[in-house]
Amino acid sequence: MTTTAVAEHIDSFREKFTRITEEVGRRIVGHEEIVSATVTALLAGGHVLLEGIPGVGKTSLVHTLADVLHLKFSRIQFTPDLMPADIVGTNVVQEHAHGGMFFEFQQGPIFANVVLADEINRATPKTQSALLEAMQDVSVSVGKTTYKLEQPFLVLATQNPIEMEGTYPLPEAQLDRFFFKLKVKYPSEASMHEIIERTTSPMTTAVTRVLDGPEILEMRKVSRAVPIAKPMQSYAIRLTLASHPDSPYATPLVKRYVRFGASPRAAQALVLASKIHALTRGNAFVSVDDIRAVALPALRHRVLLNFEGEAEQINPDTIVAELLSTVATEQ
Amino acid sequence: MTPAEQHDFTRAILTSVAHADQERRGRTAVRQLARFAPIAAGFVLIVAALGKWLGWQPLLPLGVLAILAAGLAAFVLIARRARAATDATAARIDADAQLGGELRSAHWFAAQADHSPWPTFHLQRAAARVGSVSWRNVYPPVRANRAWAFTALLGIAAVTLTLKVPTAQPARATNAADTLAAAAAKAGIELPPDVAKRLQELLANADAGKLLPQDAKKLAELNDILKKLDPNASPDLAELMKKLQAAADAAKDAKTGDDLAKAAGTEEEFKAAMDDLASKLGEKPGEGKPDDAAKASPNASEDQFGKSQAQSKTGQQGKVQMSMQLVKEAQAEQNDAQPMMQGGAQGGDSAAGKGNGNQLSKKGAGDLLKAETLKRELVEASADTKGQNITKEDLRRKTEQGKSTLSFTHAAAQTTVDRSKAAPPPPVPDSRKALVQSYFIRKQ
Repeated sequence: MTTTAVAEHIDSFREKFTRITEEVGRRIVGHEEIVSATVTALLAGGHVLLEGIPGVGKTSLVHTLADVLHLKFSRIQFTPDLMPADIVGTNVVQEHAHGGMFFEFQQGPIFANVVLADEINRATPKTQSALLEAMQDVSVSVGKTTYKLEQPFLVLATQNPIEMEGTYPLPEAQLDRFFFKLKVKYPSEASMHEIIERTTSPMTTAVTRVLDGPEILEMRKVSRAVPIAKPMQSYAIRLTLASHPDSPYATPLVKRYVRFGASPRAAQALVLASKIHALTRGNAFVSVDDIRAVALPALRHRVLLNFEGEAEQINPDTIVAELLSTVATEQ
Repeated sequence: MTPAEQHDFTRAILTSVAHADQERRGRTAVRQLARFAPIAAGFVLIVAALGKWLGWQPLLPLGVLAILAAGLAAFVLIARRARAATDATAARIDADAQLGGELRSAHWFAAQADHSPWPTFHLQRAAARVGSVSWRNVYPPVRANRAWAFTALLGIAAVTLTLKVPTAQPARATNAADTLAAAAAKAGIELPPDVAKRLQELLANADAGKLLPQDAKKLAELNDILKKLDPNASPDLAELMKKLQAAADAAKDAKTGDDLAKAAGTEEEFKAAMDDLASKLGEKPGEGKPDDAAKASPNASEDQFGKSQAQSKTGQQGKVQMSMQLVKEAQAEQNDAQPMMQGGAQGGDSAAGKGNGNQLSKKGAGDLLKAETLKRELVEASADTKGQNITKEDLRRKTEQGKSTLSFTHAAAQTTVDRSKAAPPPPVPDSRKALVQSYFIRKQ
């Protein structure tokens, strides 16, 4: 590969990324940051937890993204009686044409490229755990057989932050497997006008498929090739370490309100996401600004509050913001 | 891309960072120099003025000026010298030039031997971008014309003052007389104008080295007068006394001349003024009038101890002895001074001062004795040692302390816990219930 090819890769990546976000934006009003972060997670090979009150367009966003990306899409509505086999699939007895019975594996809805796990916290921990292997290893095990899932594989889970009755909070191990946690905010007044006009008129907004699976995989390769200088990597690591109360980099808020900080997966997410962020800006290097831009969605769900933090209703975003303002960019 | 080309990019990045770092440090140094140079020049001017005042060698202010100038120049040179640029340096330069982290990242990759396409492309782009940066615009020259002008002005003034302006001797004599007057005013004495004038002339003569033998005598008298003032009241006065003593010693060896006869004609007049000043200094409120103190002391002594003055002279208390000795000395001094006061030319003024001084000194000596006695009583009371107020040691208390033992005469009965009577834990307030519950039912 020559430097010219590198320049072409960067331009191509930037152009495709912009096309995806623009196409999604044709149907989804506002939420540009959410769309951009979701595509970033997809290109990094991660999964996204979308949190927001009902009706702000979480599910519509995932639907639109699947349409735009020309990927196989499936939706799982999580309920308390949902079983793991309902997600991963099960062996069913089949009959040979020439007689005789045999077990045949029936794939569950997890066998798709984009899986929408709607209201994921309504299922029992047992069912939630069925996603663990799929999210981490992109495979599912049924009985003695392990089935690989098709790449690209993206789980987009949604949850409601208000309604807590009859819910099962995601365990830390599950939370840590989400690349980003995105908070879908209530739309602004101008966005509301746009939403009403688009959804209450006879005209429906159709989106075109701008990207397919192989192109996404190619973009993943490009994003991983972006070099990162050691000082920037050190900054990402220091940010991660600073979220631990026992760390020498720990901030006062972390020391007081945090029970356990971000895992090494957080540092991986910071670096990978910052590489993609750099490419979207047309850069072949990672800067401190790139890391800071992706720190909040990468760290907020990995900071576990202690009892005092829960009682004081401390927002993890506040802690991450303090980390960003306190941790030195130079060593 | 060939390795040679990559080497060029690498060198361009490193050179740019080193150059920018030198510019940045030089600019910071010049800015600091502009801040401190006027202060240094002002300091030199002060040194020059002091040197002129105190008659120092002209070389001293010029030497200070040269040392400070050399120090500041060395500071700028050291600040601007080439150094190895660190990542922190590159980060600062990157931020100053608003390069969005490209220079910092490229600087790190330039120091590595990575020839893969991506870092090479990164270095190539960074070199091109850094090459277009005008470091002169990023680090513009420090504009501190006012500071430089002010520094030059102060420096020229210091040099002019040192080399051109003659030493101001009369001013020093006036200052010496003023010091004496200030010290006297602090002691509650107002010098008569003619005495102050004569003192000023005498001090001017002493400074100019034109003292006559009779001046030495006058100076000795003046020195005696000054000794009556509290030397601690003014450090300048103590210094002045030392110098006067030295001048008086020097004047003893002076040759006689026509001035001697002239000075002799006014000696009686000056002596009278000196005597008057001496009488006033002797009536200082702080020291008290000696004869009145002597009158007050026997009464105070008898009131406090019920003993005679003779007994107190041979007493065991050193401090009381000291006080009495002071009183005695003051009395003797008063006996010597009294005829002089009566026969003085300014007897009217002296008499008035004496009357006031009597009352003040009587009160002062009494207070002194009372204070000493009270202090002694306080010390004895706190020490409880055998003395005038305690005839024998308090053996009883010491014995009790020595034989005291610790023992228990009562022990609490063994308690049994009745759990039914145990108080329940305080209920969780309603306002906190939701928070406590939310802790056990986690939310994301």
